[in-house]
Amino acid sequence: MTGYFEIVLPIFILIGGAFVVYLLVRLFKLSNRTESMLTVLVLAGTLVVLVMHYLDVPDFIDRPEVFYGSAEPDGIIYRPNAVGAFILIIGVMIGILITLYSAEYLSRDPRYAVYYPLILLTLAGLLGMFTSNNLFNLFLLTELTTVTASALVAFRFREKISIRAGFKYLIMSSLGTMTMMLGIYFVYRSTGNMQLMGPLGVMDNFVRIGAACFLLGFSLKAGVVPLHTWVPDVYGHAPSAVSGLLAGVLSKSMLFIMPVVCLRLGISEVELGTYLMVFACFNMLVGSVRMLRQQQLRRFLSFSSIAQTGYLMFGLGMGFYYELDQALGVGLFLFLVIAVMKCLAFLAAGVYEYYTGSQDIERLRGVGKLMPLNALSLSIALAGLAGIPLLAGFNGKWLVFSAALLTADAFALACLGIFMLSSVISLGGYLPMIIKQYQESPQPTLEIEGFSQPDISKWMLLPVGLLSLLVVLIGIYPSPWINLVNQVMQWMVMSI
Amino acid sequence: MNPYQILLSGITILPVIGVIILLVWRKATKTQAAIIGIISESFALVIPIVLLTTLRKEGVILFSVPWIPNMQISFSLELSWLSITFLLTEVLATLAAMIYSLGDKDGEKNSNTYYALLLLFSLGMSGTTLADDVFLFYIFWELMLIASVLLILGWGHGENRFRVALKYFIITHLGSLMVLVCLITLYVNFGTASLTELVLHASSLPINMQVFLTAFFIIGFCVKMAIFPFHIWLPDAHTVAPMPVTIILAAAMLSMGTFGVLRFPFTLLAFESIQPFAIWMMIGGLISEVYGALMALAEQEIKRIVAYSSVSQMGYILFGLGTLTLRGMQGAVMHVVYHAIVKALLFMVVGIIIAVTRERDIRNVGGLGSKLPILTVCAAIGVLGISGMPPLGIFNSEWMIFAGGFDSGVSIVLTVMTLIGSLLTLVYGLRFFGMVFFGVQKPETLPEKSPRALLVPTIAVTVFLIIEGLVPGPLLEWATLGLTGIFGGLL
Amino acid sequence: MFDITRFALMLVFTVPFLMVILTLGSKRVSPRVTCLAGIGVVMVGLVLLGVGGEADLSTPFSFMAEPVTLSISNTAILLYLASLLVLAGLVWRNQEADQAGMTTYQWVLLNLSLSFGFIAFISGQFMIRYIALDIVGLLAALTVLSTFSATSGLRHFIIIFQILRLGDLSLLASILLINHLTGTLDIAEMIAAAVDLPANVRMWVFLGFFLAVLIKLAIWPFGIWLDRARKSAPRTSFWVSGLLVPALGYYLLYRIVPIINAAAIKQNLTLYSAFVLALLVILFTALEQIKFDRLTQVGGVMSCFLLAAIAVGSGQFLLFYLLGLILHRGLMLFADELSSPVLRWVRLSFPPLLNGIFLAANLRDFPVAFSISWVIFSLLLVGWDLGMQRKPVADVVLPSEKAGRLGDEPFGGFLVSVARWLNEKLEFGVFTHGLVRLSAFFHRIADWMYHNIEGGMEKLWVWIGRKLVALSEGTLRKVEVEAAQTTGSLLDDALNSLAIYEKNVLRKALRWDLAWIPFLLVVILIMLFVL
Repeated sequence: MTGYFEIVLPIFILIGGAFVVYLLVRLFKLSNRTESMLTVLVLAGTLVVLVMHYLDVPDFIDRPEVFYGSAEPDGIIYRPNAVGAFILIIGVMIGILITLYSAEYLSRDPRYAVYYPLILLTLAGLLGMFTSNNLFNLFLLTELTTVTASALVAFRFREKISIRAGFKYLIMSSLGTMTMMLGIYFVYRSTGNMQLMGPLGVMDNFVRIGAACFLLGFSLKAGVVPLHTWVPDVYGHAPSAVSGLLAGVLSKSMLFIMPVVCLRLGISEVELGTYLMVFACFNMLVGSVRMLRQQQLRRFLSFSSIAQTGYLMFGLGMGFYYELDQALGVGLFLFLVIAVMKCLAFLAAGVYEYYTGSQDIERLRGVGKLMPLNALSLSIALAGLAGIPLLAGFNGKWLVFSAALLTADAFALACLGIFMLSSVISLGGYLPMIIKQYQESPQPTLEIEGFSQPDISKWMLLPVGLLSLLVVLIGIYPSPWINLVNQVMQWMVMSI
Repeated sequence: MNPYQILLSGITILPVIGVIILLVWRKATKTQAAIIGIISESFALVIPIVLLTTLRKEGVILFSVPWIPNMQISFSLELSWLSITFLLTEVLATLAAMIYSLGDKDGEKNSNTYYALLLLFSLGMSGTTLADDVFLFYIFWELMLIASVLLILGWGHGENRFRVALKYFIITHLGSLMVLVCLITLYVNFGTASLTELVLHASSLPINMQVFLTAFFIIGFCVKMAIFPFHIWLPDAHTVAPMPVTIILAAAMLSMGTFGVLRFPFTLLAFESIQPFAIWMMIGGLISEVYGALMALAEQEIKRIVAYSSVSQMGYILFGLGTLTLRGMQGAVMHVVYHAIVKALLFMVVGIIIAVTRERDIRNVGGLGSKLPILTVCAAIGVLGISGMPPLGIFNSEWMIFAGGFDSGVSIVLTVMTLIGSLLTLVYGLRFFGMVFFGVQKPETLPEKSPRALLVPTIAVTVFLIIEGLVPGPLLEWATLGLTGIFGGLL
Repeated sequence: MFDITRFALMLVFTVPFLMVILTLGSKRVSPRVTCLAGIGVVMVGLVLLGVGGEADLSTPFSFMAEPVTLSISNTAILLYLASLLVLAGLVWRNQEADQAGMTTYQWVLLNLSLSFGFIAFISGQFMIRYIALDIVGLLAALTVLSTFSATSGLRHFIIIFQILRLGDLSLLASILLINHLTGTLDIAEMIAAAVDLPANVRMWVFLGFFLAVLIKLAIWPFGIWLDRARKSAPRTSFWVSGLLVPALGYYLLYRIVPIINAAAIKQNLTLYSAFVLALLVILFTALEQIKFDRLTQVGGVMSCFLLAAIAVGSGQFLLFYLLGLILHRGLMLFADELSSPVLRWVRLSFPPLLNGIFLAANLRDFPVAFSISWVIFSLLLVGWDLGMQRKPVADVVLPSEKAGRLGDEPFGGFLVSVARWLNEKLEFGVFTHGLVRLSAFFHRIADWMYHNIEGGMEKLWVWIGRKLVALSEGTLRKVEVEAAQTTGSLLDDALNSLAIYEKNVLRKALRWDLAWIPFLLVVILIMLFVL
């Protein structure tokens, strides 16, 4: 094991941090808040390393000798990945916010001790997936995220439905990763090589079957229709903070690993683009239509998340199909804004759930009067998702339109039509949701139950407020963010 | 950057300051909030008037600061003769509505937010008329929509206001999306969002694409103009909205669609790409005119009658635009202004009728003529005005529109039908007037006295209508300058 | 420099407005006196204008970028003077008539109509004239409105205003059409240019003008507005509808004579047929009317003669014919006021006299057949008018009663039987009975026409109105309400089934979810290897 250690340093920090934090908490019986502070420290450390790493990208981007691990044919190699750094920086930032949020959110749960390490491990797995250069290693790290994430999903094990959700996630993801395992078999059978860099050797149909298996596995983890069925259950019943992380970062980041693997394994860019764009349409339609009649707030957000996955796939798909770098940039920008908005939406929904004990939309009618700030934040998130101007979502929409119209091709324009349709249909979901918060309910259930205006904890207000500000900021002044994304996009093009 | 350009930006910035004051000073009473609103809105009235002389000297005033440089998007405003006409109409309508709202019962709860939203609504419209950047245009365009939807949601009447607001938002948004497609097509094809630059290049696009863009633009803006069959949002939204909002919706917001048609397809694209749509616009205008009038004739709810008459009047405007002649379009622009005044007047009258009788069904109202003589005179002038009785304003614009119809040389029959169809306006206008003011008095005792605070702005608008009708010169000149600014010597 | 013409113009235009202010402001001065004074001043002004001579004046004003010009012609001044003369008489007579129905409001309308009528007569720019015509139409309609409580006046107002406005709109169409082709709004230039228009366009122009004239002159089938004005308006202010509007119509017709003269045979035929049809209908239907209204009926017939005279292409002495028509209308207005037998006979003899003089003056130009029919129709009119004067017609005597009287003769036998035979077959059978039969036959025709054509026209107008309302209500129900409800319920149904689906989905077994995995894998493989 030699090479540039700083490549794997963040992974080490995260995994090591997870154990250290857990041990400290167990040994000294630290409180939930303390543990969350410790986790924030770990994450902050990771963030610093990641940012430094990110700043170094221009130096190593075109140097194949920068790696960590053994350079032998079957050795495990970690390579720096610019896109991964970008995504992980967002992921870790959001991780910090949800950790802060959990400092209050989990305070009623005695089992907080394992919660934070699990988050750290999930992020470590994700980071590993981006940097790992070996298919088998990739599989292992995928399993790591799957297992930790399903543990997080089923965190409230006393609720039957949470268990069901966690179980569903575990089973489906495992099947997905098993398919990836099958893919590894096909690839290794033909080439005898599992490295993602360097010469691959024979390129026959078995390799392509392997690639198809990987495509399927990542699709499942990203929640591509028709493999989206776990999404509403999981996001709807996992702890809200976890839903934010999963929906905002984890599942969508799979779409960025997918091309790296698939293009390497013999799927052409056009094929990948076609796949992404076709299934993007399904995602957009299914997500926006099924969003309309949801009873549970977070289930509602999950379907909106399926639609957002579709938007992201549409942007990336155009990028591959037309070899349009700009569209890849659109994909990255969408990832950023969706992560921020989705996380905000889930966190705000979690605040409602935490204080009212319910995420039933009908029961939450008129809740805006009781928690005005939180209602404003959720409204900002939803309006942003709906693409209202001066919020982050609109800039994303504008970029998607620009990219699609730039291609001026019937396929892209047809998908754009679906995109427009979906965004109009989803308005029928977002707007009533925003309105209902402020609507005077005919049966003010919450008030009848003697529910009074709660003091929302600062631990929760801080991340929610920060994310709201960010949504508005990206909306009003997207320039720096677009510059950032364009930079990453160039690296992404270079590395693919 | 000279002081005039900075002054120009004040039209958009000063109302924002008003909004901030309103949002910060939560304890203001309704009157105080209204006064803040009126003061900040009147800046938007004074600044263009101050800029008139400069505009006359320079023809156009530009204000531009970079906003999102890597997307070639800037915060740029342009005051031209075309935009100043629409801008002043919109600001005056808003001011009238705000003054009217002082005596109105709506907006008593959360009056700060109410006036802040009214200001934002108006800001959206002034921004739409001024924006010189497609991105900025769309943002203002949506701001106008969102503010009005929020106003309907928060202060609307009736249980179904949520449904209505949703319908209004979604249908109008569909139109906006069509516009957005066109805007972005222009933007990506030339890599610039600035309209000043797009004007120079846009007509070099392939002609097929331009035809396509024109179709999308016109349909998209027709949704805003509430042309049949895209009018379905209008009657509900007008009925449910609080009265001042209805006034702004009907008097100002509808005409933004007209501005859009003039500003985008007509200004940017080649004349040849618009010509295929001329006859369809004329036919659409005719259908809308007749259809709206018929609906107004059949409708029983007072506000809806006046609301449907907007559908009819927008038909004239579309017809005028469709003639593609100077006179037709002058007529359309003038019709926008006159329609704004008359429609504001009629809605004010309707508001007073509703306030006095607490009835919305015209069958339950009657014989108010002897009780409310001043209102009767105002209503009579409004009804005569909308039916195109000279010398009240709408006659002038209808005359130009019909003349344009003949000038277009498309079909004499079509224009004659439109002309004779305008008789229908008289039919429903007189039905409305007769049912409300003649016959046995209903309800027998009026629950409320005639509110003076509502009557004063109504009389003021009536007087303004008569003056505007008698002195059409300046308006005609502005419309001419604005249109020749677009078409140059083409017409 | 003192310009007498401009002074007179100012006088005629502004004095009625001053009178309006005086009527409204002063309680002491009788509005009748004010109005009379106003009429006097206007007449003096008109005479001054006439003295100043015919001229085309430009004014410093412009409206909608079109210069406002005035064209002072003796024809217009004479026609207006004649109308004013009648009005002065009416107002004068109004003293004794206890000012029936003449409220301050009616006086104001009358005064206003003086001013706008003047503009409608002398404006040299068609748009301004149109505006004045429109306003006069509004004033005419307003005269029938008296109270807010009675809805019948309102109904009449609506019908009068709508029909007059229909005429104005068709006039507007013609004006705009000529304007489109010639680029001018100056009446003289427009008329001159319209002569040279292409035939199909000229047809449109002609039709527009023709409809406007028909409505203004209240010729069948557009006469129903005048009936209603007659019924509802006070006698004095009926002048606006009964005389001023027709006078404006006469003048309009007079101005467009060049267009008609230059026209193709089709247009003349239109005029002829309108003439004959309207004349017959009016004559016949009036037979059956219980309350005969001479002003509208005879006035309509005389307007038909005018149409015929113009159709045959004579412009000579037309002005005097027009003046005669206006005076005739005035006479009829007065005859209603006073029941003097002299006036009645003058009124009766006036139309044949006028027609006769006009025929004599134009005898050389008129075709023979036309002259003969002109005479026949004029005589028909006289007889008819006379008959109407004697109405109700005496009952027909039955044959059996007469027979009894004849059988009492002393010289019976053959003479008696011959006489009886003659009496029965000739006197009774042919003359008495035949005439009765003939008369009954005519009455039957008249009855049929009254109910089916004139009444039918009335019914048609009402039918159009009803249909319009029914159409709009039906469309509102079908398209606006029901369609919205249908789409709304469809949408609701869809959303409800979605909601049910969402509920069921929660209970769905995991295996169905898992089944999608191989399915998608197959799809991907097909995509990669087949497509």
